[in-house]
Amino acid sequence: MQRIRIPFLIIVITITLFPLFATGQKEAVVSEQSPYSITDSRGVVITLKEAPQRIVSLSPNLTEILFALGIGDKVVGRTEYCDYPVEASDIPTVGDLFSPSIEKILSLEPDLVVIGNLGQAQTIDALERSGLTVAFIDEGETLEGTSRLITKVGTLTGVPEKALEVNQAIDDSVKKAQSFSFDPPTVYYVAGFGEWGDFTATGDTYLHDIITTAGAINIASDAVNWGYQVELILAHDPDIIILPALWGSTSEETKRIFTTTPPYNTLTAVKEDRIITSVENSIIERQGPRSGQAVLLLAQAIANILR
Amino acid sequence: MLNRKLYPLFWVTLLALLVVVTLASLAVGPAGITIKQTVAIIKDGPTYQMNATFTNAQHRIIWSLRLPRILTALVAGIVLAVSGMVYQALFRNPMADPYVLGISSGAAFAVALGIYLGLVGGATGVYQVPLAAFLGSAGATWAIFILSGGVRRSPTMLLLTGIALNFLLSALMSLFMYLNRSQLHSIMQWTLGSFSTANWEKLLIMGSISLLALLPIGFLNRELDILLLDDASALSVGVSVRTIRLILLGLSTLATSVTVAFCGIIGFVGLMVPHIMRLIVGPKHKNLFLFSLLGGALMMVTADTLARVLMGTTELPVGIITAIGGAPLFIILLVRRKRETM
Repeated sequence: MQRIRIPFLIIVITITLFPLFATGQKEAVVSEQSPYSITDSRGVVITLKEAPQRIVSLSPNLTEILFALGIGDKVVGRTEYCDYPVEASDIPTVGDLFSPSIEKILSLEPDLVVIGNLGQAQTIDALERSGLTVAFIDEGETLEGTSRLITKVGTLTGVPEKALEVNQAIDDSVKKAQSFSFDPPTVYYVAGFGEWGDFTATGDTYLHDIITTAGAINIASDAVNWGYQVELILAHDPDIIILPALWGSTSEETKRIFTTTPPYNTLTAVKEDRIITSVENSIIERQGPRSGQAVLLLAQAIANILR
Repeated sequence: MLNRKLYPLFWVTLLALLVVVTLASLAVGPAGITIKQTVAIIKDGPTYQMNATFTNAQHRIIWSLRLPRILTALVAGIVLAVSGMVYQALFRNPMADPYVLGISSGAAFAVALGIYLGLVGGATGVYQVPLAAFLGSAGATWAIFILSGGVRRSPTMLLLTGIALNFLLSALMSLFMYLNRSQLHSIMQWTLGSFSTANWEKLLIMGSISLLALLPIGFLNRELDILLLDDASALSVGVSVRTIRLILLGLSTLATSVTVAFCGIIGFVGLMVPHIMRLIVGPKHKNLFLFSLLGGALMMVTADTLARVLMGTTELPVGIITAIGGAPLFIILLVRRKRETM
């Protein structure tokens, strides 16, 4: 039995994977002729004959990027979470990040669908089977990845110069942020606390990169996958707490509860009121045109506290 | 089964093991406090005095995190194991556990609904979630009790109504989770159970209510034995089956609801610990009560300690550990007993 199975498996795998390689190569040939071409983050070459006129964005940060590139008017579909800039809210939604309506997307007749790091393989597969062009764009959870993301979207949509400008603006903000001079404080980012478990910007997240770039030391840099333990927060006793408003609460409410709940209320940063609540979630969490602003706002807030 | 003469020895061994595990788990955790420091911190007492051996933060980690947490796990283990034992006797059913009457699904449903309605938010006050969970548990159990005709009808009726309502509540919880998918992870985290938010105040509330509720059960051993007989035989012994059932049901439900409210839904302990102990010391409730109590505490403290240390900087939900660790142990015992009886 074993002897038959292995060659059989190899044949099955080859047959299954063959179309993937085949399409990749075919499009690669076409790409040399068209300026609207990128290799997306799966390694698939995406080529458009002309600049896309009807774009569906399945990621809030990609929606922001499209608007920053000046082609927000080409976006015909978005997710429920795509809430920035405000004009985006006028665009019809196609559902949430994890399971958008394929039918709704098809009905919008897009010539390009862009999908980000929360996009599911099944969504991409279903859209491609329906004959749509799907670009999966996720260039790693760092500021550098964010720049590559913007470059790719700009290239594919035919506005590479605009992408350069946006990236330049991000760089400028980051440089400005780094001009504040302070001794790097230790910080803890609160992504969740209390009954729902302790979650933070661990070393493998994009937020970690933002915090580090802003000139602070993330106490959870050695942790991974958002999880953290409360006794480690106490052990590190960070200089500053970054506390964005949690879902269903305002930032005042979040701060009030965090600072009165044991054991968080025993932290030195809480006692001395060194808590940053001013940085809005959508600015700091999304990899997009506002990423430079996120670093700048954070650095400013830290500088204010340390002054 | 163990030789009857060895019971006291086995009990003392379990107790000693529990003490050792409890003390050892105080010294382990991601914050890396040495055994020497732990001993010094414990000796120092609950208020910190400046010294060279340990810091204020380390003192707080031991006194206001680890110690209340370990004790909470210990109490939860006792409550779930003893309640499980009571439920199994009440329903004369080995599949019964403390959650058959809707305590878990009622609690989870209420928390999911609370999140959906915006009553329970991301930044939640210390008692919002426990309160929602307790109301959910109490409401579900009450509904099952009324719908099934309570103790007047057969326990099977109660059990079946419980199963049906559990399905309904789980489906409704899923619906609210689905409608509020961005918070899926939060509610998921809660339903898997954890002791990570334990503190002295919560322990005092949970421990005093649940342990006081369990205390009378220790004196109802004979009645529990009788419940395993059919109703007619029970009556002939002179016990009012209905009254006893009502008392036992009320006490163990109260204890379990309070525990679930503070610790989330920790599975397996309530189902398996009484079974494991029954395989070792037999079905007499006088023994079973004392052994389930220790077994539950030991299993829970061990599982929680593993939950804290296995993954380094992240902690695992304790319910995952109790199931992964307990199920094989139970299977081994079952297989061994089968061999003995064959």
